[in-house]
Amino acid sequence: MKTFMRSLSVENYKLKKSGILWLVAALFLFLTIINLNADSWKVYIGTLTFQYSTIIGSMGFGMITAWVFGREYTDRTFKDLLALPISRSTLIISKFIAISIWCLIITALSFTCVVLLGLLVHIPGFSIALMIDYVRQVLILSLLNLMVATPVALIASIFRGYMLPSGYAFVSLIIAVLFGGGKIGMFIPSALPSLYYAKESLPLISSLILCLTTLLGTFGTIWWWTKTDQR
Amino acid sequence: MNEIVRIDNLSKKFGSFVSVSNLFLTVNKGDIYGFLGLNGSGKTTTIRMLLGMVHPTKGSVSYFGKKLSDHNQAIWNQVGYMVETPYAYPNLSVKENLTLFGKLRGINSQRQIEETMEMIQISAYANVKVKYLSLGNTQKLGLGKALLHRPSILILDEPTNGLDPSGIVDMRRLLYTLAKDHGVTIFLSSHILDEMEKLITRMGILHHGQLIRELTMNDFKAVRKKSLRLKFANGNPSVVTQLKRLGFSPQTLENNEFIIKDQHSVNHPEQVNKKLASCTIYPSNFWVQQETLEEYFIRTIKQNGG
Repeated sequence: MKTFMRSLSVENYKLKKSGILWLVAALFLFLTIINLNADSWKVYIGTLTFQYSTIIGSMGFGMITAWVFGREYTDRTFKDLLALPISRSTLIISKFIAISIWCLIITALSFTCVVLLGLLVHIPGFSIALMIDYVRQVLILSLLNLMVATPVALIASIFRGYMLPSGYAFVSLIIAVLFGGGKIGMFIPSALPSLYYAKESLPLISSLILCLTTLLGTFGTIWWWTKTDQR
Repeated sequence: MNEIVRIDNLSKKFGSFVSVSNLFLTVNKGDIYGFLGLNGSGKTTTIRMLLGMVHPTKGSVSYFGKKLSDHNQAIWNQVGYMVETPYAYPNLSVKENLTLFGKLRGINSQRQIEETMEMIQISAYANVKVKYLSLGNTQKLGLGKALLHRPSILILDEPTNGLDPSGIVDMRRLLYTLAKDHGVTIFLSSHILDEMEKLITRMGILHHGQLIRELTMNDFKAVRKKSLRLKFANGNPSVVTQLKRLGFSPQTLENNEFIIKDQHSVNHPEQVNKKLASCTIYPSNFWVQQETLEEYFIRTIKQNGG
Protein backbone atom coordinates (compact mmCIF):
# COMPACT_ATOMS: atom_id res chain seq x y z
CA MET A 1 0.00 0.00 0.00
CA LYS A 2 2.88 2.34 0.88
CA THR A 3 4.49 1.82 -2.51
CA PHE A 4 1.15 2.37 -4.21
CA MET A 5 0.61 5.67 -2.38
CA ARG A 6 4.13 6.80 -3.27
CA SER A 7 3.58 5.95 -6.88
CA LEU A 8 0.18 7.66 -6.89
CA SER A 9 1.58 10.85 -5.42
CA VAL A 10 4.30 10.91 -8.10
CA GLU A 11 1.73 10.45 -10.88
CA ASN A 12 -0.51 13.12 -9.36
CA TYR A 13 2.39 15.57 -9.23
CA LYS A 14 3.37 14.92 -12.85
CA LEU A 15 -0.22 15.37 -14.02
CA LYS A 16 -0.77 18.49 -11.93
CA LYS A 17 2.32 20.04 -13.49
CA SER A 18 1.26 19.20 -17.03
CA GLY A 19 -0.57 21.46 -19.42
CA ILE A 20 -2.93 18.77 -20.73
CA LEU A 21 -5.40 19.08 -17.84
CA TRP A 22 -5.82 22.80 -18.35
CA LEU A 23 -6.11 22.33 -22.11
CA VAL A 24 -9.07 19.99 -21.58
CA ALA A 25 -10.58 22.35 -18.99
CA ALA A 26 -10.17 25.28 -21.40
CA LEU A 27 -11.93 23.29 -24.13
CA PHE A 28 -14.87 22.69 -21.81
CA LEU A 29 -14.95 26.36 -20.82
CA PHE A 30 -15.09 27.27 -24.51
CA LEU A 31 -18.07 24.92 -25.00
CA THR A 32 -19.73 26.50 -21.95
CA ILE A 33 -19.30 30.01 -23.29
CA ILE A 34 -20.79 29.20 -26.70
CA ASN A 35 -23.83 27.70 -24.96
CA LEU A 36 -24.52 30.68 -22.71
CA ASN A 37 -27.26 32.00 -24.97
CA ALA A 38 -29.51 28.99 -24.19
CA ASP A 39 -33.24 29.64 -23.54
CA SER A 40 -33.43 27.68 -20.32
CA TRP A 41 -31.26 25.90 -17.76
CA LYS A 42 -32.57 22.55 -18.99
CA VAL A 43 -31.35 23.26 -22.54
CA TYR A 44 -28.12 24.87 -21.30
CA ILE A 45 -27.08 22.15 -18.89
CA GLY A 46 -28.52 19.39 -21.10
CA THR A 47 -26.48 20.47 -24.14
CA LEU A 48 -23.32 20.83 -22.08
CA THR A 49 -23.82 17.42 -20.49
CA PHE A 50 -24.24 15.88 -23.94
CA GLN A 51 -21.12 17.65 -25.18
CA TYR A 52 -19.34 16.57 -22.02
CA SER A 53 -20.31 12.94 -22.62
CA THR A 54 -18.91 13.08 -26.14
CA ILE A 55 -16.24 15.71 -26.74
CA ILE A 56 -14.76 16.08 -23.26
CA GLY A 57 -15.29 12.52 -22.11
CA SER A 58 -14.29 10.64 -25.21
CA MET A 59 -11.70 13.04 -26.58
CA GLY A 60 -10.52 14.89 -23.45
CA PHE A 61 -10.12 11.90 -21.15
CA GLY A 62 -8.55 9.99 -24.04
CA MET A 63 -6.01 12.76 -24.55
CA ILE A 64 -5.15 12.85 -20.84
CA THR A 65 -4.69 9.06 -20.82
CA ALA A 66 -2.59 9.22 -23.99
CA TRP A 67 -0.43 11.90 -22.43
CA VAL A 68 0.09 10.07 -19.12
CA PHE A 69 1.19 6.84 -20.79
CA GLY A 70 2.58 8.06 -24.11
CA ARG A 71 4.73 10.80 -22.64
CA GLU A 72 6.79 8.23 -20.74
CA TYR A 73 7.84 6.91 -24.15
CA THR A 74 8.26 10.19 -26.04
CA ASP A 75 10.30 11.65 -23.16
CA ARG A 76 11.98 8.23 -22.84
CA THR A 77 11.44 8.28 -19.09
CA PHE A 78 9.80 4.84 -19.13
CA LYS A 79 13.26 3.32 -18.58
CA ASP A 80 13.37 4.95 -15.16
CA LEU A 81 10.21 3.09 -14.16
CA LEU A 82 11.33 -0.40 -15.07
CA ALA A 83 13.85 -1.36 -12.41
CA LEU A 84 12.34 0.07 -9.25
CA PRO A 85 11.33 -1.46 -5.93
CA ILE A 86 7.72 -0.94 -7.06
CA SER A 87 5.99 -3.46 -9.27
CA ARG A 88 5.10 -2.31 -12.77
CA SER A 89 1.46 -3.26 -12.23
CA THR A 90 1.36 -0.91 -9.21
CA LEU A 91 2.80 1.85 -11.39
CA ILE A 92 0.19 1.28 -14.09
CA ILE A 93 -2.72 1.15 -11.64
CA SER A 94 -1.53 4.34 -9.97
CA LYS A 95 -1.41 6.00 -13.38
CA PHE A 96 -5.03 4.97 -14.05
CA ILE A 97 -6.11 6.19 -10.60
CA ALA A 98 -4.30 9.51 -11.06
CA ILE A 99 -6.03 9.94 -14.43
CA SER A 100 -9.40 9.22 -12.80
CA ILE A 101 -8.78 11.63 -9.92
CA TRP A 102 -7.75 14.48 -12.21
CA CYS A 103 -10.51 13.86 -14.76
CA LEU A 104 -13.03 14.06 -11.92
CA ILE A 105 -11.39 17.23 -10.57
CA ILE A 106 -11.51 18.79 -14.06
CA THR A 107 -15.16 17.76 -14.34
CA ALA A 108 -16.04 19.24 -10.95
CA LEU A 109 -14.23 22.50 -11.69
CA SER A 110 -15.76 22.74 -15.15
CA PHE A 111 -19.29 22.15 -13.90
CA THR A 112 -18.83 24.69 -11.14
CA CYS A 113 -17.90 27.17 -13.88
CA VAL A 114 -20.95 26.08 -15.90
CA VAL A 115 -23.26 26.80 -12.97
CA LEU A 116 -21.58 30.09 -12.02
CA LEU A 117 -21.59 31.38 -15.61
CA GLY A 118 -25.21 30.29 -16.09
CA LEU A 119 -26.24 32.14 -12.95
CA LEU A 120 -24.20 35.17 -13.95
CA VAL A 121 -25.98 35.59 -17.30
CA HIS A 122 -29.38 34.83 -15.69
CA ILE A 123 -30.42 31.85 -17.80
CA PRO A 124 -34.04 31.20 -16.80
CA GLY A 125 -35.32 28.02 -15.12
CA PHE A 126 -32.60 27.26 -12.54
CA SER A 127 -33.54 24.72 -9.89
CA ILE A 128 -31.58 22.71 -7.30
CA ALA A 129 -33.43 19.51 -8.26
CA LEU A 130 -32.36 19.94 -11.88
CA MET A 131 -28.78 20.48 -10.78
CA ILE A 132 -28.74 17.39 -8.57
CA ASP A 133 -30.09 15.30 -11.43
CA TYR A 134 -27.38 16.56 -13.83
CA VAL A 135 -24.59 16.20 -11.25
CA ARG A 136 -25.60 12.55 -10.87
CA GLN A 137 -25.63 12.09 -14.65
CA VAL A 138 -22.28 13.82 -15.10
CA LEU A 139 -20.70 11.61 -12.45
CA ILE A 140 -21.97 8.46 -14.15
CA LEU A 141 -20.88 9.77 -17.55
CA SER A 142 -17.41 10.54 -16.15
CA LEU A 143 -17.04 6.97 -14.94
CA LEU A 144 -18.25 5.59 -18.29
CA ASN A 145 -15.82 7.83 -20.16
CA LEU A 146 -12.93 6.82 -17.92
CA MET A 147 -13.76 3.17 -18.64
CA VAL A 148 -13.93 3.81 -22.38
CA ALA A 149 -10.56 5.63 -22.31
CA THR A 150 -8.56 2.70 -20.86
CA PRO A 151 -7.60 1.18 -24.26
CA VAL A 152 -5.88 4.49 -25.05
CA ALA A 153 -3.27 3.54 -22.42
CA LEU A 154 -2.65 0.23 -24.15
CA ILE A 155 -2.31 1.89 -27.56
CA ALA A 156 0.07 4.51 -26.10
CA SER A 157 2.19 1.73 -24.60
CA ILE A 158 2.28 -0.41 -27.73
CA PHE A 159 2.99 2.47 -30.09
CA ARG A 160 5.26 4.26 -27.62
CA GLY A 161 3.91 7.77 -27.81
CA TYR A 162 0.85 9.97 -27.53
CA MET A 163 0.14 10.92 -31.14
CA LEU A 164 -1.42 7.64 -32.21
CA PRO A 165 -3.55 7.16 -29.08
CA SER A 166 -4.69 10.79 -29.33
CA GLY A 167 -5.65 10.01 -32.92
CA TYR A 168 -7.51 6.93 -31.68
CA ALA A 169 -9.42 9.12 -29.19
CA PHE A 170 -10.32 11.53 -31.98
CA VAL A 171 -11.44 8.77 -34.37
CA SER A 172 -13.45 7.19 -31.52
CA LEU A 173 -15.24 10.48 -31.09
CA ILE A 174 -16.00 10.74 -34.82
CA ILE A 175 -17.28 7.15 -34.91
CA ALA A 176 -19.43 7.80 -31.83
CA VAL A 177 -20.90 10.94 -33.40
CA LEU A 178 -21.49 9.28 -36.81
CA PHE A 179 -22.81 5.92 -35.71
CA GLY A 180 -23.72 6.38 -32.06
CA GLY A 181 -27.30 7.39 -32.88
CA GLY A 182 -27.93 4.30 -35.03
CA LYS A 183 -28.66 0.72 -34.07
CA ILE A 184 -25.00 -0.23 -34.02
CA GLY A 185 -24.29 2.54 -31.47
CA MET A 186 -24.92 0.08 -28.66
CA PHE A 187 -21.89 -1.95 -29.85
CA ILE A 188 -19.46 0.98 -30.14
CA PRO A 189 -17.64 1.56 -26.83
CA SER A 190 -17.04 5.26 -27.39
CA ALA A 191 -20.74 5.80 -28.17
CA LEU A 192 -21.92 4.21 -24.91
CA PRO A 193 -21.65 7.28 -22.64
CA SER A 194 -23.88 9.32 -24.97
CA LEU A 195 -26.21 6.32 -25.34
CA TYR A 196 -26.48 6.23 -21.56
CA TYR A 197 -27.15 9.96 -21.51
CA ALA A 198 -29.93 9.56 -24.06
CA LYS A 199 -31.60 6.54 -22.42
CA GLU A 200 -30.44 6.76 -18.78
CA SER A 201 -29.49 3.08 -18.95
CA LEU A 202 -27.46 0.71 -21.09
CA PRO A 203 -28.55 -2.56 -22.73
CA LEU A 204 -26.89 -5.66 -21.28
CA ILE A 205 -24.74 -6.19 -24.36
CA SER A 206 -23.49 -2.59 -24.13
CA SER A 207 -22.64 -3.05 -20.45
CA LEU A 208 -20.69 -6.20 -21.35
CA ILE A 209 -18.84 -4.40 -24.13
CA LEU A 210 -18.00 -1.61 -21.71
CA CYS A 211 -16.64 -4.04 -19.13
CA LEU A 212 -14.64 -5.92 -21.74
CA THR A 213 -13.20 -2.66 -23.08
CA THR A 214 -12.14 -1.63 -19.57
CA LEU A 215 -10.61 -5.02 -18.82
CA LEU A 216 -8.78 -5.04 -22.15
CA GLY A 217 -7.45 -1.52 -21.59
CA THR A 218 -6.40 -2.01 -17.98
CA PHE A 219 -5.06 -5.56 -17.95
CA GLY A 220 -3.72 -5.25 -21.50
CA THR A 221 -1.61 -2.30 -20.41
CA ILE A 222 -0.38 -4.11 -17.30
CA TRP A 223 0.43 -7.16 -19.38
CA TRP A 224 2.27 -5.06 -21.95
CA TRP A 225 4.44 -3.36 -19.31
CA THR A 226 5.22 -6.55 -17.41
CA LYS A 227 5.46 -9.28 -20.01
CA THR A 228 6.91 -7.70 -23.13
CA ASP A 229 10.39 -6.36 -23.77
CA GLN A 230 10.70 -2.66 -22.96
CA ARG A 231 13.47 -1.41 -25.25
CA MET B 1 28.74 -12.23 -0.41
CA ASN B 2 31.48 -11.70 -2.96
CA GLU B 3 29.42 -12.41 -6.06
CA ILE B 4 27.20 -9.43 -6.81
CA VAL B 5 25.92 -10.27 -10.28
CA ARG B 6 25.78 -13.65 -11.94
CA ILE B 7 24.76 -14.11 -15.56
CA ASP B 8 24.00 -17.72 -16.29
CA ASN B 9 23.78 -19.01 -19.86
CA LEU B 10 21.95 -15.87 -20.93
CA SER B 11 20.63 -15.71 -24.50
CA LYS B 12 18.33 -13.36 -26.35
CA LYS B 13 16.84 -13.76 -29.79
CA PHE B 14 14.85 -11.12 -31.64
CA GLY B 15 13.04 -13.19 -34.27
CA SER B 16 15.82 -15.14 -35.95
CA PHE B 17 18.51 -12.63 -34.93
CA VAL B 18 20.65 -13.80 -32.04
CA SER B 19 21.62 -10.75 -30.03
CA VAL B 20 23.22 -12.51 -27.06
CA SER B 21 24.27 -16.12 -26.99
CA ASN B 22 25.04 -18.34 -24.00
CA LEU B 23 26.61 -15.64 -21.91
CA PHE B 24 28.18 -16.56 -18.59
CA LEU B 25 29.62 -13.79 -16.49
CA THR B 26 30.09 -12.79 -12.87
CA VAL B 27 30.75 -9.42 -11.31
CA ASN B 28 32.32 -9.53 -7.88
CA LYS B 29 32.20 -7.07 -5.02
CA GLY B 30 34.52 -4.14 -5.66
CA ASP B 31 34.90 -4.82 -9.38
CA ILE B 32 34.82 -2.02 -11.88
CA TYR B 33 33.84 -4.26 -14.76
CA GLY B 34 34.27 -2.88 -18.27
CA PHE B 35 31.86 -4.45 -20.72
CA LEU B 36 33.35 -3.84 -24.15
CA GLY B 37 32.05 -4.48 -27.62
CA LEU B 38 31.38 -2.95 -30.99
CA ASN B 39 28.02 -1.41 -31.80
CA GLY B 40 25.49 -4.21 -32.18
CA SER B 41 27.60 -6.70 -30.21
CA GLY B 42 24.80 -7.24 -27.69
CA LYS B 43 26.08 -5.03 -24.85
CA THR B 44 22.96 -2.93 -24.47
CA THR B 45 20.67 -5.95 -24.79
CA THR B 46 22.66 -7.66 -22.04
CA ILE B 47 22.43 -4.58 -19.84
CA ARG B 48 18.69 -4.39 -20.46
CA MET B 49 18.35 -8.04 -19.50
CA LEU B 50 20.35 -7.27 -16.36
CA LEU B 51 17.77 -4.61 -15.55
CA GLY B 52 14.73 -6.72 -16.38
CA MET B 53 13.76 -4.46 -19.27
CA VAL B 54 14.22 -7.25 -21.80
CA HIS B 55 13.23 -10.82 -21.03
CA PRO B 56 15.91 -13.42 -21.82
CA THR B 57 15.08 -16.15 -24.31
CA LYS B 58 17.17 -18.47 -22.14
CA GLY B 59 19.21 -18.26 -18.97
CA SER B 60 19.01 -16.10 -15.89
CA VAL B 61 20.41 -13.11 -14.03
CA SER B 62 21.00 -13.15 -10.28
CA TYR B 63 21.88 -10.36 -7.89
CA PHE B 64 23.35 -11.20 -4.48
CA GLY B 65 22.45 -14.84 -5.10
CA LYS B 66 18.78 -14.15 -5.84
CA LYS B 67 17.33 -14.71 -9.28
CA LEU B 68 15.81 -11.74 -11.01
CA SER B 69 12.06 -12.11 -11.42
CA ASP B 70 8.89 -10.03 -11.63
CA HIS B 71 8.23 -10.78 -7.96
CA ASN B 72 11.59 -9.74 -6.61
CA GLN B 73 11.47 -5.95 -6.76
CA ALA B 74 13.44 -5.54 -3.53
CA ILE B 75 16.61 -6.26 -5.53
CA TRP B 76 16.32 -2.85 -7.17
CA ASN B 77 16.93 -1.15 -3.82
CA GLN B 78 20.56 -2.13 -4.26
CA VAL B 79 20.91 -1.44 -7.97
CA GLY B 80 21.44 1.95 -9.61
CA TYR B 81 21.42 2.25 -13.36
CA MET B 82 21.71 4.51 -16.34
CA VAL B 83 20.95 3.15 -19.79
CA GLU B 84 22.37 5.02 -22.77
CA THR B 85 21.39 8.70 -22.94
CA PRO B 86 19.37 9.37 -19.82
CA TYR B 87 16.13 11.31 -20.00
CA ALA B 88 14.03 13.12 -17.44
CA TYR B 89 10.70 14.93 -17.31
CA PRO B 90 11.49 18.02 -19.39
CA ASN B 91 8.98 20.37 -17.76
CA LEU B 92 10.16 19.61 -14.25
CA SER B 93 13.32 20.97 -12.64
CA VAL B 94 16.39 18.91 -11.78
CA LYS B 95 15.36 18.89 -8.11
CA GLU B 96 11.76 17.95 -8.91
CA ASN B 97 12.95 15.08 -11.10
CA LEU B 98 15.23 13.78 -8.35
CA THR B 99 12.51 14.23 -5.72
CA LEU B 100 9.95 12.27 -7.76
CA PHE B 101 12.44 9.57 -8.57
CA GLY B 102 13.47 9.43 -4.91
CA LYS B 103 9.83 9.08 -3.87
CA LEU B 104 9.45 6.04 -6.11
CA ARG B 105 12.43 4.57 -4.30
CA GLY B 106 11.06 5.48 -0.90
CA ILE B 107 13.44 8.40 -0.31
CA ASN B 108 11.84 11.47 1.23
CA SER B 109 14.97 13.09 2.60
CA GLN B 110 15.66 16.42 0.90
CA ARG B 111 19.13 16.27 2.38
CA GLN B 112 19.90 13.07 0.47
CA ILE B 113 18.69 14.73 -2.72
CA GLU B 114 20.85 17.79 -2.10
CA GLU B 115 23.88 15.63 -1.28
CA THR B 116 23.35 13.73 -4.52
CA MET B 117 23.17 16.99 -6.49
CA GLU B 118 26.43 18.10 -4.88
CA MET B 119 28.06 14.75 -5.60
CA ILE B 120 27.28 15.02 -9.30
CA GLN B 121 27.99 18.77 -9.35
CA ILE B 122 24.58 19.85 -10.55
CA SER B 123 23.41 21.91 -7.53
CA ALA B 124 23.70 25.12 -9.55
CA TYR B 125 20.98 23.82 -11.86
CA ALA B 126 18.67 22.51 -9.11
CA ASN B 127 15.76 24.74 -10.12
CA VAL B 128 16.36 24.70 -13.86
CA LYS B 129 13.84 22.81 -15.96
CA VAL B 130 15.40 19.75 -17.54
CA LYS B 131 14.46 20.87 -21.06
CA TYR B 132 16.99 23.72 -20.70
CA LEU B 133 19.88 21.49 -19.58
CA SER B 134 22.86 20.65 -21.78
CA LEU B 135 23.38 17.02 -22.75
CA GLY B 136 26.24 16.81 -20.27
CA ASN B 137 24.12 18.04 -17.38
CA THR B 138 21.27 15.72 -18.39
CA GLN B 139 23.84 12.93 -18.23
CA LYS B 140 24.81 14.06 -14.73
CA LEU B 141 21.16 14.07 -13.71
CA GLY B 142 20.86 10.50 -15.04
CA LEU B 143 23.81 9.52 -12.87
CA GLY B 144 22.19 11.33 -9.94
CA LYS B 145 19.08 9.19 -10.32
CA ALA B 146 21.28 6.10 -10.38
CA LEU B 147 23.08 7.16 -7.18
CA LEU B 148 20.19 8.67 -5.25
CA HIS B 149 19.46 5.57 -3.16
CA ARG B 150 23.15 4.78 -2.55
CA PRO B 151 23.17 1.46 -4.43
CA SER B 152 25.65 -1.37 -3.92
CA ILE B 153 26.01 -1.85 -7.65
CA LEU B 154 25.89 0.64 -10.48
CA ILE B 155 25.07 -0.48 -14.00
CA LEU B 156 26.01 2.14 -16.56
CA ASP B 157 25.63 2.00 -20.30
CA GLU B 158 27.78 4.65 -22.00
CA PRO B 159 27.89 6.98 -18.98
CA THR B 160 30.16 9.50 -20.73
CA ASN B 161 27.87 10.06 -23.73
CA GLY B 162 27.59 13.77 -24.39
CA LEU B 163 30.12 14.83 -21.77
CA ASP B 164 32.90 17.28 -22.63
CA PRO B 165 36.53 16.23 -21.93
CA SER B 166 36.45 17.75 -18.46
CA GLY B 167 33.10 16.07 -17.75
CA ILE B 168 34.55 12.73 -18.83
CA VAL B 169 37.46 13.13 -16.40
CA ASP B 170 35.03 14.19 -13.61
CA MET B 171 32.87 11.15 -14.32
CA ARG B 172 35.88 8.85 -14.16
CA ARG B 173 37.00 10.37 -10.86
CA LEU B 174 33.52 10.10 -9.40
CA LEU B 175 33.18 6.46 -10.40
CA TYR B 176 36.64 5.72 -9.03
CA THR B 177 35.78 7.39 -5.72
CA LEU B 178 32.48 5.53 -5.50
CA ALA B 179 34.25 2.23 -6.02
CA LYS B 180 37.26 2.94 -3.83
CA ASP B 181 35.77 4.92 -0.95
CA HIS B 182 32.18 3.70 -0.89
CA GLY B 183 32.67 0.11 -2.02
CA VAL B 184 30.25 0.44 -4.93
CA THR B 185 30.61 -2.29 -7.53
CA ILE B 186 30.40 -0.92 -11.06
CA PHE B 187 29.47 -2.60 -14.32
CA LEU B 188 29.84 -0.27 -17.27
CA SER B 189 30.08 -0.16 -21.02
CA SER B 190 31.72 2.59 -22.99
CA HIS B 191 33.36 3.20 -26.34
CA ILE B 192 35.92 5.56 -24.81
CA LEU B 193 38.49 2.87 -24.16
CA ASP B 194 41.24 5.27 -23.02
CA GLU B 195 39.01 6.22 -20.11
CA MET B 196 38.02 2.63 -19.45
CA GLU B 197 41.68 1.64 -19.29
CA LYS B 198 42.25 4.15 -16.49
CA LEU B 199 39.24 3.00 -14.50
CA ILE B 200 38.32 -0.65 -14.82
CA THR B 201 39.67 -3.58 -12.85
CA ARG B 202 38.17 -6.34 -15.01
CA MET B 203 36.79 -6.55 -18.51
CA GLY B 204 34.79 -8.72 -20.81
CA ILE B 205 34.73 -8.36 -24.58
CA LEU B 206 31.47 -9.18 -26.27
CA HIS B 207 31.42 -9.90 -29.99
CA HIS B 208 28.41 -11.05 -32.01
CA GLY B 209 26.62 -11.73 -28.72
CA GLN B 210 29.35 -13.95 -27.30
CA LEU B 211 31.88 -13.26 -24.59
CA ILE B 212 35.13 -13.80 -26.46
CA ARG B 213 37.53 -12.62 -23.77
CA GLU B 214 37.38 -11.96 -20.06
CA LEU B 215 40.36 -10.84 -18.03
CA THR B 216 41.53 -8.69 -15.16
CA MET B 217 43.55 -5.56 -15.84
CA ASN B 218 46.61 -7.34 -14.38
CA ASP B 219 46.11 -10.12 -16.95
CA PHE B 220 45.73 -7.48 -19.63
CA LYS B 221 49.01 -5.83 -18.61
CA ALA B 222 50.71 -9.19 -18.93
CA VAL B 223 49.26 -10.16 -22.32
CA ARG B 224 49.26 -6.88 -24.17
CA LYS B 225 51.80 -6.56 -26.93
CA LYS B 226 54.78 -4.24 -26.85
CA SER B 227 56.72 -2.69 -29.71
CA LEU B 228 59.84 -0.63 -30.11
CA ARG B 229 59.33 2.79 -31.65
CA LEU B 230 61.98 4.92 -33.34
CA LYS B 231 61.43 8.47 -34.48
CA PHE B 232 63.86 10.51 -36.54
CA ALA B 233 64.00 14.27 -36.58
CA ASN B 234 64.62 14.48 -40.33
CA GLY B 235 63.53 12.25 -43.15
CA ASN B 236 66.32 9.88 -44.19
CA PRO B 237 65.33 7.47 -46.98
CA SER B 238 68.21 5.13 -46.21
CA VAL B 239 67.10 4.43 -42.60
CA VAL B 240 64.89 1.50 -43.59
CA THR B 241 67.71 -0.08 -45.61
CA GLN B 242 70.15 0.45 -42.76
CA LEU B 243 67.77 -1.03 -40.21
CA LYS B 244 67.16 -4.06 -42.43
CA ARG B 245 70.91 -4.48 -42.87
CA LEU B 246 71.17 -4.65 -39.06
CA GLY B 247 68.70 -7.51 -39.05
CA PHE B 248 65.52 -5.66 -38.05
CA SER B 249 62.14 -5.79 -39.82
CA PRO B 250 60.89 -2.25 -39.38
CA GLN B 251 57.40 -1.07 -40.28
CA THR B 252 57.19 2.49 -41.43
CA LEU B 253 54.69 4.87 -39.88
CA GLU B 254 54.06 8.52 -40.71
CA ASN B 255 56.35 11.35 -39.58
CA ASN B 256 59.65 9.43 -39.84
CA GLU B 257 58.52 6.92 -37.24
CA PHE B 258 59.28 3.19 -37.35
CA ILE B 259 58.10 0.17 -35.39
CA ILE B 260 60.13 -2.90 -34.55
CA LYS B 261 57.99 -5.72 -33.24
CA ASP B 262 60.28 -8.72 -32.78
CA GLN B 263 60.15 -9.74 -29.15
CA HIS B 264 63.94 -9.94 -28.62
CA SER B 265 64.37 -6.30 -29.67
CA VAL B 266 61.37 -5.21 -27.60
CA ASN B 267 62.73 -6.98 -24.53
CA HIS B 268 66.28 -5.69 -25.03
CA PRO B 269 66.03 -2.14 -26.33
CA GLU B 270 69.50 -1.33 -25.02
CA GLN B 271 71.01 -3.83 -27.48
CA VAL B 272 69.07 -2.25 -30.34
CA ASN B 273 70.30 1.18 -29.30
CA LYS B 274 73.87 -0.08 -29.22
CA LYS B 275 73.56 -1.54 -32.72
CA LEU B 276 72.08 1.68 -34.06
CA ALA B 277 74.83 3.75 -32.49
CA SER B 278 77.49 1.52 -33.99
CA CYS B 279 76.13 2.43 -37.42
CA THR B 280 75.75 6.10 -36.48
CA ILE B 281 71.97 5.91 -36.60
CA TYR B 282 70.68 8.26 -33.96
CA PRO B 283 66.90 8.42 -33.56
CA SER B 284 65.53 11.57 -31.88
CA ASN B 285 63.08 9.44 -29.89
CA PHE B 286 63.39 5.82 -28.92
CA TRP B 287 60.87 4.06 -26.69
CA VAL B 288 59.02 0.85 -25.95
CA GLN B 289 55.32 1.30 -26.51
CA GLN B 290 52.72 -0.90 -24.83
CA GLU B 291 49.54 -1.87 -26.56
CA THR B 292 46.63 0.27 -25.37
CA LEU B 293 43.29 -1.19 -24.41
CA GLU B 294 41.89 0.20 -27.64
CA GLU B 295 44.58 -1.57 -29.71
CA TYR B 296 44.11 -4.77 -27.72
CA PHE B 297 40.36 -4.58 -28.20
CA ILE B 298 40.65 -4.08 -31.97
CA ARG B 299 43.19 -6.90 -32.25
CA THR B 300 40.96 -9.24 -30.24
CA ILE B 301 37.94 -8.39 -32.37
CA LYS B 302 39.93 -8.95 -35.59
CA GLN B 303 41.21 -12.29 -34.34
CA ASN B 304 37.58 -13.28 -33.85
CA GLY B 305 36.55 -12.39 -37.37
CA GLY B 306 35.37 -8.85 -36.63
